[in-house]
Amino acid sequence: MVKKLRIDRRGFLKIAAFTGVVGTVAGFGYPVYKYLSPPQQETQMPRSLLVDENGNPIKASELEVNKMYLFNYPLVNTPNILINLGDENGNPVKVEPLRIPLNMEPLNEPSYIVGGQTENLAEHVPATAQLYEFPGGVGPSQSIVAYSAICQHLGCVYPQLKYVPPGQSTEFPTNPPIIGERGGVLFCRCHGSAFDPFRGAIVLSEPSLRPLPTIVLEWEQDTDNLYAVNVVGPVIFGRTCNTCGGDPVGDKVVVKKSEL
Amino acid sequence: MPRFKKLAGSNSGSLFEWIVDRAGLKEVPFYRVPFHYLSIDMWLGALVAASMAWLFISGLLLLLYYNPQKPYESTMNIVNNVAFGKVLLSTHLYAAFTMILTMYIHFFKNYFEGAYKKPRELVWLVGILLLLTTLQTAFFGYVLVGDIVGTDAINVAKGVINGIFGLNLGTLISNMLLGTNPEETYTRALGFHVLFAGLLALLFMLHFSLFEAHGPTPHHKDTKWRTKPEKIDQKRKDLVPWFPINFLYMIGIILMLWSAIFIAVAVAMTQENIHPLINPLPGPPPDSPEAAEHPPYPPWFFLFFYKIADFVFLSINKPIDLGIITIPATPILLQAILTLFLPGIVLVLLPFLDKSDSRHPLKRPWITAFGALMIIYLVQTTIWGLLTPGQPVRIGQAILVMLPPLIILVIGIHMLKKGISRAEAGGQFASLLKRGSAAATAGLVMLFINSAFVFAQSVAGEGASAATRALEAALGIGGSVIALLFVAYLAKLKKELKELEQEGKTEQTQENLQQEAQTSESVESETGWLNVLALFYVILILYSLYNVVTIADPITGAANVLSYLAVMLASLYGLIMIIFRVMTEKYKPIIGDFGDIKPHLLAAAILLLAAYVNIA
Ligand code: HEM
Ligand code: FES
Repeated sequence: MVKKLRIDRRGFLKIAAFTGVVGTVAGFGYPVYKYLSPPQQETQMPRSLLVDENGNPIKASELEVNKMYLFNYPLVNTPNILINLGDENGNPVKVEPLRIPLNMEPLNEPSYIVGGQTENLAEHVPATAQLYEFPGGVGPSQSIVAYSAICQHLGCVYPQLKYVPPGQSTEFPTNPPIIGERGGVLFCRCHGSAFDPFRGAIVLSEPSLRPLPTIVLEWEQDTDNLYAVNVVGPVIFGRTCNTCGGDPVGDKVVVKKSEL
Repeated sequence: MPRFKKLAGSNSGSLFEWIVDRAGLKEVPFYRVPFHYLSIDMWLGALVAASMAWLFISGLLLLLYYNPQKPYESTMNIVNNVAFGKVLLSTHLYAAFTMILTMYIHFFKNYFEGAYKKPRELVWLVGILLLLTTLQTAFFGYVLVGDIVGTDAINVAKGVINGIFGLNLGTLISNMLLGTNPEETYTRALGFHVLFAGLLALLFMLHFSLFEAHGPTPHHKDTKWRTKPEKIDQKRKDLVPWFPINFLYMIGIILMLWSAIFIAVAVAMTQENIHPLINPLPGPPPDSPEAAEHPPYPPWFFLFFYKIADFVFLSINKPIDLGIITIPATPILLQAILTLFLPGIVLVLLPFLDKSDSRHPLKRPWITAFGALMIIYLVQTTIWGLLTPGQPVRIGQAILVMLPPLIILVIGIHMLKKGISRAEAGGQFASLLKRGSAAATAGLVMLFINSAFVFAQSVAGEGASAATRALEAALGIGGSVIALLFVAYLAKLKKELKELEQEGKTEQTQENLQQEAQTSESVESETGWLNVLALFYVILILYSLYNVVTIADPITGAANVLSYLAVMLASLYGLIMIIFRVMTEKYKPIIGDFGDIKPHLLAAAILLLAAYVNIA
């Protein structure tokens, strides 16, 4: 009898100890897990006037064609490329609005999909694809666009990711050069992702599977001023949200001309 | 678990036993101790180590969010935005406080018990280094927060360094430690905080391995306070195995201490008018209007020296030309030499000064008196510094506060000592003491304080207000009371020594123990209540887990989270103490006496405090 009782107590205490230890470890593990997840402070998407280094507004009609301009938006540490797109002869080219899938399959032919707001989608976009609206170019010739300068593959940044205007793609490491419909390309040297600047930065070539996020611009016709107002497309690389993880820019952002 | 059965060999059947076997836990080469050594007064060092362990865990996690470029903002981000960040930062602070307090207790216990003697001199020396390093680490941590309390601490520290070393050398030193501009200051403070913490870890490992070389000093009941034997006989019959018995006891201590830290923070968080020096949360930023109300203080553990720095009668206010060198104006140099440097030297040399063959405090009377004075002066000057920070102290005031305890100690110890060295006279003195000497000494003290008061008034002149004088008299009386209690305790020790010497040999006690152990087998103890208690603890743990996980907002509900974590730790402690007791039944049967229920009373105390926090 006595012996049996003892064993029972042993077994009972073993279970009690096990539960107690597991419970306490969990009780500490949970707070540590929560603590390690950084708090997300989503701020409002700013609306920022694009200005030059002296604080004077940038004039849309004075932007050089096919030249890269750089500015940070929506956070002080998220760089973007601003381009007044043009053809080989330096004439601005109108950029059409599109609906673009968030995830692309660049290996399939055609490896991307176009389709204006009103047009039908091409058949290679799955019916379930999540689409976002690329607003097209702004400015007097509807040729000014802005994209995130952080590659969607593994986050390489301008100048590793840069714009190569039509006609200059011969300096490319790939042969034949991967170029977009109009001959220009946004090319990332890190692992060779290519995006079409004339079509909402859709993927021309892997490894990236997502287009570059688009910075939505607004052009004020009477003043010729430009505003950055939103980010559409995939979330900027390395962020949990477009306004997470940094201080937002103010209501003016400085635009610098690329030295390349 | 058949696979493990195979893996482990013949007689071990579970994963647990497999781990025990492969980790060699049963053969851990730590010193083994008799069962009755497993009591808290023999394990004070474990308390210090337990605080340190939590400091390392929480500190390394805090490092993930702390930014020395924005000290205050990043701290407030931890407190106000990061989930459970408030819990981590506040327990880091209180664990540091606990570490300092337990370290002093550990230190004085070893001091009064003569644990520094041969062959443990090196353990003692490394221990002194640990004390200094801990205080340094805590200072730099305190600064890191960047609130008004921390910036005040920087300013006070700079003032003190300049006061000790003179303006030129002092500026050089504080620039090295804290840089010249705020950005440098916080980067350096962080660097030194982590650097000293690393040093602390290394020194602790050294301290512990040196300790393990000889094991704990045998209990004075076993040695009758003699220095021999120097080590615990590892062939004694009543030794407990390190694993699992000693191990469980140690885990129990860690859990209990952590639980105490957590509940202390939780209670402190519910107090509205808590003093900024012990507020578990950061104070206002230094440039805010609220900051104006904060008088500049160093961290509380440096308050004692902050007050001693006010002893203006020791100040060297003009450069002194000594021919070869000139001592610059150093208003706190003498104070530092007298109260930091010289005692430091004494402590370092202690094992080499004290070569007597007894560890009894009364056989080392002047060392005992010195130790008691250190405690009394630390307490007195700390409170004094808290109540009248930065107010200059004249010689008469210092005497009024600090001389009475000194006199009581000297007289008291002298009387007791005489009794011990001369056996016959001893009887007389002891009985004299027993009968009425406490009252007599108290009367003496009052007389003394009175005259000191008159003397001090004449020296202090009109400078001090009536309130300050009353405060100083209170401090003097308080110190005297501590001194009296100390003398009374020594008288008790003296009596015990007599009894010990009359008792038979220690071996006999051991045999008794063994006999007890044998009889206990038949006293199949009535321990059903332990099972019920264990079940209760498990339920408490799961209940607390549920509350921690479902807490809606760990930021505003930090005090509640802390109280549940404390309950969880206390319950696991209680559970482990049950298992510990059941496993040690053969050393001492469970009879439900005070020793058996003490751990559960402690756990109950935590539970009550947790209930208080959740109601408040
Ligand atoms: C590896 C070990 C440690 C690391 C990495 C560490 C890290 C930190 C950090 C980053 C802070 C700043 C928290 C903030 O203001 O946001 C801090 C504060 C502090 N640390 Fe440590 N620490 C460690 C060990 C220690 C030790 C051993 C002690 C005590 C002796 C200590 C005492 C303090 C104190 C008193 C504070 C101020 C907390 C407050 O006022 O709220 N730390 N520690
Ligand atoms: S990062 Fe741009 S292609 Fe890999």
